[in-house]
Amino acid sequence: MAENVGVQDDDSDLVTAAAGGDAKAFHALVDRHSPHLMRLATMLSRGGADAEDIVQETLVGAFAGLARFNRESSVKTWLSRILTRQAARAWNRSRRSRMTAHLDDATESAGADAGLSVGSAATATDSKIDIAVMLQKLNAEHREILVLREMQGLSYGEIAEVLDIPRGTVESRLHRARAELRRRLQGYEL
Amino acid sequence: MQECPFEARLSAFYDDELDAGTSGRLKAHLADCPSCSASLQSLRQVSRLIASAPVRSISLVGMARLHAAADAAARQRTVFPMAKALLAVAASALIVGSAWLVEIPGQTASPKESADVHSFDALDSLATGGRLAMPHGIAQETDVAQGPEPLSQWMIDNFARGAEYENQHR
Repeated sequence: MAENVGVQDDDSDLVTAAAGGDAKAFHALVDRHSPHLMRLATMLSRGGADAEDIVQETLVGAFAGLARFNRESSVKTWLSRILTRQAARAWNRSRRSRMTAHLDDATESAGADAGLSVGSAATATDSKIDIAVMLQKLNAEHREILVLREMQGLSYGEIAEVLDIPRGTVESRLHRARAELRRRLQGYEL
Repeated sequence: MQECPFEARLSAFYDDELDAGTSGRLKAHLADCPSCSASLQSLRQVSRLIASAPVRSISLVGMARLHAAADAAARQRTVFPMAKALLAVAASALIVGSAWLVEIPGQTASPKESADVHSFDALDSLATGGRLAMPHGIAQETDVAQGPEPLSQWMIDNFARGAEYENQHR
């Protein structure tokens, strides 16, 4: 916890310096936050180049809006919020192609890369699961909230800030998202 | 099968997001409810599964792109305010100049005496980027109701004289 506070303080200093025009400070923020932003972007996008584009758009957007960062939330939460919106836009832009070609391609390439296979629940009892592909099949709200909680480790309060929803909605939506994922996982080995 | 009333709070219990009282009651309930215990176990399994997902880390090229984008954004932040400031200064100068031209009444005829000298002062002033000097007395001798039209006529006349003067003294 003490370490987090320290990081938070450092982040705050870096944001102050970057907002004052210190490019090195912003580069330090890029180095510090890119890895977790990339994880988030990968899970909320089609992956690969898309994820990098989303991270880049997020950081450029953050840099442009440094002066508006109110410091009520952590830098991580603030950046996650920007990225989640960017990812939602990117997802919507590519919805049509995603519905047709992408899932097949992603399934094939992911399976080939990682040695995993994905099939219908009825035929995949003995198969391992590509959870990334499984998450992509969830609706956007459920995917977002599961990634923010399970992969980013955000608290309910932070998720509420990122998604701009009440804390009570975070709890109910997360409950439904997990229930949906568990339904989809029925028949797979966990 | 009807869902256990505690089922909906299991996610928050698992995430340690319940208040102490509710959390204590749910913990006690779990000892007597196989369904909720199984659901809790399932939540743990899902978490492990998600945590095991291979995560693509950012490539060196990707990282270089991010830093290049950060530099570009920094340049924009520096250049845009400067451009805006220059634009504001230019706009202000235009507004002040326009107001000045409109407010100073024009005159079709130049003052009888020393008009040439003053008109060349005006040209000098223009050449050095300064404010256009009006011949002495022009404001007093001009009909205010005439507005900017006579003024422009005066400017044309004086510029013509300026050109003539230059030709004569070459």
